[in-house]
Amino acid sequence: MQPRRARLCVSLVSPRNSSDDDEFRRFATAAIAPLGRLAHALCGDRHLAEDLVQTCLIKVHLAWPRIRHPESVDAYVRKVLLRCWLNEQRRPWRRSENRNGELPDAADESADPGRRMGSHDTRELLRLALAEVPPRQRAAVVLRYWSQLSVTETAAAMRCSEGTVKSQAARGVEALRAALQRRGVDDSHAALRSY
Amino acid sequence: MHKDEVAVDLSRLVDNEFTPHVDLDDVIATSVRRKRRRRAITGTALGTVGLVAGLLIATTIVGRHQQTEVGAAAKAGWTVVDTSKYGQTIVPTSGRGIAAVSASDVWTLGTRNKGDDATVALHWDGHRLSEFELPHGQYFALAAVSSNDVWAVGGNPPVAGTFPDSLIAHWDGHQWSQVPSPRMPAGAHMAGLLGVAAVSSNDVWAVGSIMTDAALVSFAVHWDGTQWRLSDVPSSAGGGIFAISARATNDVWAAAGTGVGKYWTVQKLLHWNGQTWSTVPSPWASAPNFLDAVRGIVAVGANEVWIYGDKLNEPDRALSAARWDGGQWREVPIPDAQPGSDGVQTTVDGRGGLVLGLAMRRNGGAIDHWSGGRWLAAPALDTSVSVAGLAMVPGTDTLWVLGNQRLEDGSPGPLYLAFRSLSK
Repeated sequence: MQPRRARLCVSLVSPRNSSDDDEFRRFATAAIAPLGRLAHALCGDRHLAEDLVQTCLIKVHLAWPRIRHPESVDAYVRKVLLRCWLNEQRRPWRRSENRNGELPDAADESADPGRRMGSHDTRELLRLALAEVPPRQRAAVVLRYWSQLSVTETAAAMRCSEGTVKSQAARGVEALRAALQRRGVDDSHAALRSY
Repeated sequence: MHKDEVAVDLSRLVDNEFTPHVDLDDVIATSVRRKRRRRAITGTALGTVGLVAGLLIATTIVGRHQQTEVGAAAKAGWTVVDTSKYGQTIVPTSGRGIAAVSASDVWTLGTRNKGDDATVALHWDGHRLSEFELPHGQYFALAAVSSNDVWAVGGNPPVAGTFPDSLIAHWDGHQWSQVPSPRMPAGAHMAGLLGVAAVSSNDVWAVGSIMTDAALVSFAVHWDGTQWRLSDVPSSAGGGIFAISARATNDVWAAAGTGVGKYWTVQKLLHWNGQTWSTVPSPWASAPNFLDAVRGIVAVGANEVWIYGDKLNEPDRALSAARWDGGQWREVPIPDAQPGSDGVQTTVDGRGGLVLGLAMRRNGGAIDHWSGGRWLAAPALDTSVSVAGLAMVPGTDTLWVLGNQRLEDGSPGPLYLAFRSLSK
């Protein structure tokens, strides 16, 4: 308790404790890649994934002095990322909206029409099919089967009951199978196992 | 066994090599700025009084016209409309959020930060700005034929239990009212219009995207003076038509693409010859990296069409433009384009040239003017302005600019609306 109080005193004098920033940097540097992949799994788009990670890390940095407990910080950050993405999903036609000045900065081969044509490999197929699954169901499917989180961990990230996680994940998998079938995958059960 | 326990393997969903580029200095700086802003907002009453006094000193109200003239050199020549009543109005950055009928008849679209995402129309009568209700929904584009014939198009946000549909509103000189959209094809369960362009009172086009059970599909509708009808577009036209420019009854251009994340990555350009829509040979056939995220298209002349947007595959992702001269597409770098773009808008200048308005992430806004095959000197713009719309008053040299002022962290701030002579 003692060091914490000392830090509080410092923060009254200077806006931020620089050791907080160092810790945040250490954490964020390690977290960027896994967060980015989770964001990509959720939204299916590299540019948006970068935006989501950036938005998420800004929120995490704002809350950093409060949350820096090594055991729970990963779960917290996952929760923030999920919320950022679900907020994004609530805005239909978001491509036509003012984008709040947030812009990603890397190239994406999926944005290249030349390469996109005819390149519907399995990953692309799965990504497109998953994009048709409604957001909360998609979140449950991605957290359970891509992140391999337990039902309890998924419920914590989604801020819902474990029962809801199970029903959302089950419905999500059904929706994913239906979407794969619409895209010409006959045996979607086998397809989802063999990926 | 519970359904949830069925083994599903998604391990190949994401490329394991993918690492997002995130600048931690930028993250920390943005967070610190937001924290400061929060403190400033919840600051003392004394601070607020000081701020208001400062604003009063900085802003001179000119007469009863309620226009403010701002004195800095970069802003010279602009008449800035007093938007303080509508300060927290966010304007659409794609589509076309402004249309001018005359110097005393200018319409813009904006969404108030009220949380319900409903768009309102703002009208400039030559003296002041007033607000008009639109049929409830989100609108992205405007087109004006005359003072009693203005169109706005958009989409109803999908709300649980309702059937979202495309939205078409019309101004008849007295009020905005909803005009029935054509019946959607079977299987469609959501439709949105993203662009509108008018040739005359009985020749208006609107374009957008329909969501069906399987995918997003492009669609176009046409107003013949009595009703809106669906028009056949090539099935290869991707998931949505997001931009349209109508130069004549038999010369209408549109850009269609597939929505990936927040960009429409373009696959096809379309042309209407008066009878049918067809895809036209596009620059990407030979150079796939060429201007790969187009935001808009504008037909300047019979043999001059421009597309403009982002080069996603370049590391600094600058805005760029390409010009078709009747024979081939050539890229034309935009003089004031800076790395990190937020959008680009255009208007024809009425004398065979083209005006571009840029919104850039770090450098704010700028205006560039192309005429007679070269770039001319263009008016300087307050760099805090992120341009979201341009319009020329027909038959004049007056250019209108619509946008939002950028806050320090890049988010949209107060509404900005101003006009000035383009060439003087």
